[in-house]
Amino acid sequence: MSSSVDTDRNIENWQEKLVFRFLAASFIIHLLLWAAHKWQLIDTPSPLIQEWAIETELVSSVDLGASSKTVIQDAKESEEVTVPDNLLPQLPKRISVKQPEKAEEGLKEETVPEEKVDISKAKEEKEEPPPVQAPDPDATNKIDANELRKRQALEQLRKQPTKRSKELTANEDNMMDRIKDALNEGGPIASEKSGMFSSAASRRYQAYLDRTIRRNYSLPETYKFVKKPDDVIFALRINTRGGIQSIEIDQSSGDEALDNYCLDVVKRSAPFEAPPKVLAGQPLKIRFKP
Amino acid sequence: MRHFVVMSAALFLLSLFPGFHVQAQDSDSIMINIDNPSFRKVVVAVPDFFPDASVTKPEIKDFAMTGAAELRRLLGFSGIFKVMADEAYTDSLEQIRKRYKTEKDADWITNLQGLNAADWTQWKAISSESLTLASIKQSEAGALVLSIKTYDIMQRKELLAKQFTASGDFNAMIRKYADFILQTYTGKPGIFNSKLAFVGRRSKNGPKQIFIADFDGSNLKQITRGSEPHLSPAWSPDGRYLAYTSFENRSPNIYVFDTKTKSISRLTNRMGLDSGANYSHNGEILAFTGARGGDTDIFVIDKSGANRRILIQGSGLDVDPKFSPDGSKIAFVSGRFGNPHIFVADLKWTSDSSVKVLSDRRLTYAGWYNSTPDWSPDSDKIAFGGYDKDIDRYDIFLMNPDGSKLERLTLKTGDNESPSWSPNGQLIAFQSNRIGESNRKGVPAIWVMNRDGSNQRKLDIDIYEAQTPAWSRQVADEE
Repeated sequence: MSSSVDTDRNIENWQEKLVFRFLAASFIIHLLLWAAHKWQLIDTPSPLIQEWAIETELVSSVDLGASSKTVIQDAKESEEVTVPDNLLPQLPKRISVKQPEKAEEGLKEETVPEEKVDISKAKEEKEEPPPVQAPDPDATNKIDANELRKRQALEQLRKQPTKRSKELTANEDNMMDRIKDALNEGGPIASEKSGMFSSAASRRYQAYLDRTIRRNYSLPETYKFVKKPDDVIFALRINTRGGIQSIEIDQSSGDEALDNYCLDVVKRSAPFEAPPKVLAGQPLKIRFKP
Repeated sequence: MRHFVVMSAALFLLSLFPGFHVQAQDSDSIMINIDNPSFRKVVVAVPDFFPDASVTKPEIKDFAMTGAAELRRLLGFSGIFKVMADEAYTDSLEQIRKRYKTEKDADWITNLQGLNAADWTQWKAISSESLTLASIKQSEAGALVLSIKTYDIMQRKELLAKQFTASGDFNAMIRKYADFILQTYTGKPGIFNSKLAFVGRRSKNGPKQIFIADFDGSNLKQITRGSEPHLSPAWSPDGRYLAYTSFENRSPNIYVFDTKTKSISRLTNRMGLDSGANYSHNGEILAFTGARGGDTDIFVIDKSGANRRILIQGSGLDVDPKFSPDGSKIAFVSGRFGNPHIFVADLKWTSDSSVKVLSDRRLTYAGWYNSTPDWSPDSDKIAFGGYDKDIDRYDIFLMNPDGSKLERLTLKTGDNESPSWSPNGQLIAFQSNRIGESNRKGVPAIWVMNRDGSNQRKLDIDIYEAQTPAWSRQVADEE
């Protein structure tokens, strides 16, 4: 009896150990992976921001250009001028509010000092200004010192999220600038390491090439009848101005005439738009399927 | 338990890695795939032929121009070629004449070993893709000798070189050579020696007769006589026999015309209706519509007229059987579910003349009334006429043999019915009653279009009306 219990325990211990080892191993691997990504030891295969997202961001920034800029300026200015705690708006001893549950709103109207102006401007983006209510002298309440401190604390609390949101817009704006710069230069977006081929501009240029060449891709009617030849692949280099720098047959279809027709198609499609820097002079493969 | 843990650990580890492999491929060079080409016609240059000093007969001299014009017309008709206007290559041609034509050498075309690089480039620059050159001379017996060559300008090589001698019908040489060109470019038999059979009337109230004409409606010959109507002509696959339906002996029966012996024989001999014959791919049997009581079904019969047996029977109307050119299927029109629609049945051949139906299925669901199916020579498409109730017109449609990819080829041009494919599958002949290019209905005539519905043109046939064309599949050796 006792021996069988021992073996059971042994088995349990052994299993527990294995599970712990497994958990530890997976923890370490996750940690390593996380660290690798954190310090960009590994390329991320796709850009952090999808191409469509960039497009929409760009569109929205163009449409709302003026307004978003003003927000940014405000945010930067206010970042520099941090208001010390002791300069926070002082509340009067007596505050008249209409009803106790709307006390805070009432309080805010009453106490709008000059220093607060630029902050509230930024706030306007976030919050609707409270409806203006005339103070009713009949409904005034006395508020003691404790209550007052509470309100001060509340006021501070309310300002903090505003600050944070301003910082956020500032960051986003930097991001947008970076994306725009990256697009203009035709450089990578996700990270320096992600390579030329995942850049949005590069991919957009590939789509442009596809469209342009496809539009010219017509073959003589006789190719409807004959057995389909193999694909033709060309190695094409496009110079910085969009002209053909060089084009040569990478893989022939075996049908010389077809090779020539397809070569004509590419030549007829040129000159192309100027490619992004990373693609200029790079070999591009063009495959024609008859 | 142990296995489970080890396995799950292994799976977990494995799951981590594929993600890394994907990136490795990313550094390969960019590949842009261009597929689905559009098709355009091959641009051909056919300058007037060069007559030799030996030519004295005026009709041979004229042929330098008329022969070239005929070749241009045929190539243009094919739906594959676009003929260049001769003004486009006047200079380039002059250069060839100067450089290669010598007065002493009558056979300079025959001896021509291609053009030099500068000439190739020049002909390519005026965007021609094919060049046909020919010289004519007169033999001592007074016959015309035509030396003719076709060059592919893209490949810079000679595609075809032929020499013909003729004393009678000069245009027959041109038709033959045009067939050679078609065959070289498409790998399919040419169409210029194929025949059209159709039902026609000489006058408004005359009886319907069977006619045979060349591919373009010229060279018209009337096959049948008598005051009774004749209908539904159908060619045998070898192009020798023409089956048709005649009411000669009171009830409709099937007759066969032999183009070689010019004789007519009677295939069926029954009191009930027998009509709409169609030869099988091997020419051994014919399928036709036969009536038993009030119901029509599809029968087959040996080409000798013996061994009549039923192939397809259904509750409603079953008409218009059409064997596919590869023999694997038969298309027919059935009204078993109400309105007539196109059906296809799979066939099993146990010998050349015995066939069984394995299964059939309905192909068309759209339209009010679909009939007159016709298989493309490759058995890859079925053309048919359908009645569009919304616009009150019959039109030609195209679909795959499984009923998919339905395309409309004609629209708003009167009633268009009875499609029939050309032997190479590039053209479709059909019957249309449009007046000019309008949507108004007039007298039916035979029209031809490319298989994509483009380039619809009326054949110039010198009779009052023409209907139900049947294009011969193969060219019979005549005379």
